[in-house]
Amino acid sequence: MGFLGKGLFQGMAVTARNFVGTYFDRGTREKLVTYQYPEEKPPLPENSRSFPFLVYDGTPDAMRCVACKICETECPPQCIYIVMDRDEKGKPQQRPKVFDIDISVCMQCQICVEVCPFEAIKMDNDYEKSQYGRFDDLIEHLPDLLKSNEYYNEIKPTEAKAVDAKLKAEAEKKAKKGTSKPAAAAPAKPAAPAPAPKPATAPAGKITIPEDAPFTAEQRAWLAGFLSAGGVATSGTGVSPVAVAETTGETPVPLPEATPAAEAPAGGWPWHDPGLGMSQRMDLVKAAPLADKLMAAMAQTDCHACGYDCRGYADAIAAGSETDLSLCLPGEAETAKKLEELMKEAGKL
Amino acid sequence: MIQQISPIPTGMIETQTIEVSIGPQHPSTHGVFRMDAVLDGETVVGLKPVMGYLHRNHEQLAERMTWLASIPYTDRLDYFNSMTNNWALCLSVEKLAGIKVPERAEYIRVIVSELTRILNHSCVIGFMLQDLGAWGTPLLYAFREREKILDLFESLSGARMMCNYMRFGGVRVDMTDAMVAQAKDIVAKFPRFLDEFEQLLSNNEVLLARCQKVGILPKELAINASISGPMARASGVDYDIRKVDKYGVYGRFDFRVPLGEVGDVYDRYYIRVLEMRESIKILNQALRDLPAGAFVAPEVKLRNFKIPPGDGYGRVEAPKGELGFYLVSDEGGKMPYRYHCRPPSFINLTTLEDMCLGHKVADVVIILGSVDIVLGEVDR
Amino acid sequence: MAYDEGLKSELQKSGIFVLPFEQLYNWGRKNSIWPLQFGLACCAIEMIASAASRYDLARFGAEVFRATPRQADLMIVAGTVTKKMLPQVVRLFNQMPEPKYVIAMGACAISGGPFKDGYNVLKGVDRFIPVDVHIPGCPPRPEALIHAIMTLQRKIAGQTLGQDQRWYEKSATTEFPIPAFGAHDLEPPANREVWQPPRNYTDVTIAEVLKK
Repeated sequence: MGFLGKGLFQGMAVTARNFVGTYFDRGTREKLVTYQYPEEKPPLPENSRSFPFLVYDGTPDAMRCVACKICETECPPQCIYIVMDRDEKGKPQQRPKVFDIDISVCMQCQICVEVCPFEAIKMDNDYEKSQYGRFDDLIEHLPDLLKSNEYYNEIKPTEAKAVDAKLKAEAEKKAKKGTSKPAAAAPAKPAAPAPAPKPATAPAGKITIPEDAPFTAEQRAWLAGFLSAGGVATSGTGVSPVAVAETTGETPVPLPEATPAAEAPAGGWPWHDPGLGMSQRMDLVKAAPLADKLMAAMAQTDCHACGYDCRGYADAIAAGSETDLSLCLPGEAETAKKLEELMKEAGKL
Repeated sequence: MIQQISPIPTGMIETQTIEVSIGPQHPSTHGVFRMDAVLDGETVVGLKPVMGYLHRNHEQLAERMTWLASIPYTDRLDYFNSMTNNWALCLSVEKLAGIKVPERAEYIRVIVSELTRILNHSCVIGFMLQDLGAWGTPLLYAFREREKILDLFESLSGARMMCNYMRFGGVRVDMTDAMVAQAKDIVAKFPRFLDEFEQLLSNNEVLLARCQKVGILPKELAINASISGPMARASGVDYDIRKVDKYGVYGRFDFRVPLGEVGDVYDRYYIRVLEMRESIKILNQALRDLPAGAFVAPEVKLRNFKIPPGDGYGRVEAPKGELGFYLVSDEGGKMPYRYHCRPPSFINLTTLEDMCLGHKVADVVIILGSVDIVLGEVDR
Repeated sequence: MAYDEGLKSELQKSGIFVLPFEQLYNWGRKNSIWPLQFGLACCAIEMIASAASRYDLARFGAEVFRATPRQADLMIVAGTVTKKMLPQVVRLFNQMPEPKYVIAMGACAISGGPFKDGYNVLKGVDRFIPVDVHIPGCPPRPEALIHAIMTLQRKIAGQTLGQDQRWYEKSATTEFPIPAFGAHDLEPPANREVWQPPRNYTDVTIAEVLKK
């Protein structure tokens, strides 16, 4: 022990050391010199996250989001609102018409990013979002949310590269399947039935995509569906069984090359095409077994929102291992209704 | 707010007690906490804590959402220590669902939790001294060290405070070599800061005069009131869940549990300093032994995660004490049927009156500071 | 207020600075915003962090955290406002002298944030007191708070002296009504003079995206 007040002097020495130390510490930042914020921004680590944004490849039209609504359901504070885009006939377009994120509610937890199977939603790192207004300024709409893949690569290089590689591999796999399919010798799953009758002709106004067009297989599939939907003008909104009966036989479907069938039997599942309407899909499975009919009622996005892909969910329902018929999020009420109808028809409900 | 004013005494000189409401808006209540103190002169003769100003319905909300969605909410319980909060919930769920956590994930969890502990303890000392009148200096030093740890947390998990880092069966992001190096750097430099901090404070005569023999919590009372954490250990209760349960991989590390003798505010301050030194020991061992391998159990699904019916209680040694989650899963298994959180600072706060009685009103704030409460956890 | 910009810059070259009084007044005001030392929840820690040495709010003249509302110009609502706490928040705001400003820091203060579904959580402090700047985030980084203070400074710099402001009006409401605890909710559930939610909400369509 020393004299009274020794502790005080020791403390003052520490303070003085820190006071002088910071002056000589500009280089190493050991003592964390103040960031002159607006002029000098602290470097953000790559993982840093602020609010979600949507990624698109190339043009904003080619967004990765397919409006499967997984993030909407999983978001803990429920700050995402999605409406799927539909054409004038009510056919789902596999992209959001409305995608709003209320950043005044968002808790920046990143769960939407983790659950997205399409790598469509990612975390931004822009934190300067102070606004005067509450309702107009703090709700981000689709135009605000869409940002290019290049931007994503810029803010999170490592992560984005891994994502790009993954998507490329998937697309290549798909493209391979697509080209080798006509020659494949039916290595089908045992449960898979014989393919439904193929349409005799392509529609008159059919626009085919040139082989050398700069599209990935995924975009190609989407475009094919989109274009065929645009070229077809036969059936109505397509939920009514009467309408289905009327259009039987004439309903054109896109060329089989365009259908993104993952592990389909030879010839594929022609109804496994998100571009088709419900009635068109149901037409294709008129003579097929129950599992195929159920599958045709799904939204065909393979988004895994139900916990399966479209095939798996249909098989599970048909086998009785899944009793919940409302799990198809992108299909919305239409699918749930159809599934119930089909199960009732089959006498299983 | 003075509710009663003593009337002019007649006959013998006597004083009447007055009631003072301290809080909920008060610089020293660490948030929105209120104490209704009954004073005789300046001496506290009664004190009633009033809580609920930050009741955010954590448990009720958690019963309405999936298991996964509850993890970011636990960040906001004790907002200094999001990592240990995550761990407590994940531990309970893993117990309930029977998930085995990979080795590397266990080590990463230990590393981030111990970093959280030194972050919390240095900040709480800063806040306590802020209440004591040491305006600024210790708090600023503590926040400077906090920033260094937060930098690591941000590069690891993406957020400074609300890390949302752990997942059932592991952690969300792997710790890269650069981050391990960063952690090693922090750990290597921290003892120097701690020495400096102690030099600044531990022998300071003002601190000794204000803290010693103030707010004594007897050992028996600490046990009876189920006090946990540094507060119990300052009263001499040898109880540390890291030693008792040996959850995670804590059984493999060599560390001691510091114990106090008197149980006053100074002991509670000094226990925290010693615990930081022990945490550094654990961190050194964990960073040295960090194994390679998976950082999350591959069989755990992120979505549609279901737990078979049953109930379970998992607890960890959070920096403030025993943090536990009691979870009940029912038929659906998608979300908890009952979700109960045992917050350490709420239970530690129950003895506040016993500690404050007989002391001056100025001591109340440092006794409260030494309890180390965070209102997000007290009110939930 | 019209003045000759050309003449002003001409004079500036020869070292004579001419300012309208309003600009000088606002310059003084915007560089000495004293916030109320008032933390509610998680965001308060980031508020302290931004006042600490690494971010140093003092560079904006806003480091003087006053513990009493009588000396404060700015209320940073940092954290969840619960229904139990709200009367105190409104009372504190009433006790602040005009001109006074409010920053709603973090999701909870703006809209209830992640806890908006809770029965005890107020869905946005703007239901009872006028909010000038909103900072989204949970919690916002210290830089975001500094950015908000800069946003507020811009707002103050644009204010005209003697007119168009709440506190210059004869019938100005300096006292905002303090809600009472009703049977189920606060009564009234919102101060309609302060809080005007939008009536219609239009969807943004894909056509607008393509246009962009």
